[in-house]
Amino acid sequence: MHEFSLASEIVDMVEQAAKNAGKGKVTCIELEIGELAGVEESALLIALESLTLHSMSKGAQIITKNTKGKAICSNCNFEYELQDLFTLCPKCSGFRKQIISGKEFNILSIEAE
Amino acid sequence: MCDTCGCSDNEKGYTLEKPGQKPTNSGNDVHDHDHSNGHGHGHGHGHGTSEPILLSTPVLSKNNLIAERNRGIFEAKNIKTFNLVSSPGSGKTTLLEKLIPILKKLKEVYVIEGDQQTTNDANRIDQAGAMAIQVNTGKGCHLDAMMIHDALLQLKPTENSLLFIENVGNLVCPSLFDLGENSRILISSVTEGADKPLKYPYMFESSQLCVINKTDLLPYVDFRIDQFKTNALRVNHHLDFVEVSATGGQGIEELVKWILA
Ligand SMILES: Nc1nc2c(ncn2[C@@H]2O[C@H](COP(=O)(O)OP(=O)(O)OP(=O)(O)O)[C@@H](O)[C@H]2O)c(=O)[nH]1
Ligand SMILES: [Zn+2]
Ligand SMILES: [Zn+2]
Ligand SMILES: [Zn+2]
Repeated sequence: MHEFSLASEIVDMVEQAAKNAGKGKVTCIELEIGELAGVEESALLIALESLTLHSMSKGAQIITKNTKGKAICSNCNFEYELQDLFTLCPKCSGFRKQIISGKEFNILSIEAE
Repeated sequence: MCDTCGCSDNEKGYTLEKPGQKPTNSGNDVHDHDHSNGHGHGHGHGHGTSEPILLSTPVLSKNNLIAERNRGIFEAKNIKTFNLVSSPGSGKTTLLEKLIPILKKLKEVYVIEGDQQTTNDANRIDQAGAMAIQVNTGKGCHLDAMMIHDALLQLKPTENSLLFIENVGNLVCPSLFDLGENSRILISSVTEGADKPLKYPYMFESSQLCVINKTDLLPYVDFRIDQFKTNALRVNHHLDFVEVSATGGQGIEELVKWILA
């Protein structure tokens, strides 16, 4: 359910940025959502669609870029990919790890006119 | 209040209430997006000739900044702050009722109670002898940093005190929202199943302490503590554990030690 509050943050920031640039309509929003960000993309898109329905972002194209989840094993230093927070190191089965990517959740850019 | 997009229902439609007083609105109407633009016509083209405006901003940056501000207040006043998170009914309020009389002898104790509805929990804290304020989030499923900031203005915690924030009972949403707390304490009860950490990993990942509550019920439920801990450590290998019974009192001393450490 927090996808609704996240979507409303996005819409607020995007429209503020468009206004600051002297634009009246947002045509495209580019988001970065890491695989390990804890954000459900489909729910977020639905929320965005309904929140922008009567706003200056109505009909804006939403582009999402999904960053892969990656961790370094603290035991053997092996770097591996993971789609969840609890995958063990495939090399040594260690559980101590440092997540190095996949937690991104950013507004990258917008297009407006 | 914005009834076009409904976002106030989700985030800004909260009220603050002290036990025995009338509720107040947050008084923070920072909502300013424009619903009345005249661009009704649909554009067909996706990528136009317009230059993209680069933002590269975290979606949660506003919340994170307010959380930093809260953290600054806590640091300046030397207030140790704990964000209590759990699924509904795992025993957060009962635990606070047990902790308050003990901690009160050492420090001033304040509680911010987050629930979607009712002031029941704030009243229970009031009874237990701590100063409390209730934040009702309405339909909102988590507390955010702004709610805490507003609650602080009313609660006015003194220097060198302890502040507990009881978050809305929900194992998903509160994990993303930094409130400015020093530590996050996750309360899990033995009636919830040992696979909770794998089902709700984000909350386990973002917490520093996991309190395993209702251990008095262990003889009656099929809950393997070692298995639970292994699962939780797979998600977050820095996590500490304390096993307690909030109703029986077992383990409370160890928890007090952790809180004061
Ligand atoms: N047997 C047993 N019951 C407990 C224990 N701790 C809490 N309970 C019971 O669990 C129920 C819920 O406790 P609360 O303290 O209200 O739980 P909560 O996490 O504050 O609930 P919400 O605020 O609604 O999310 C109550 O009936 C408590 O008496 C415990 O250690 N053992
Ligand atoms: Zn939610
Ligand atoms: Zn390894
Ligand atoms: Zn409670």
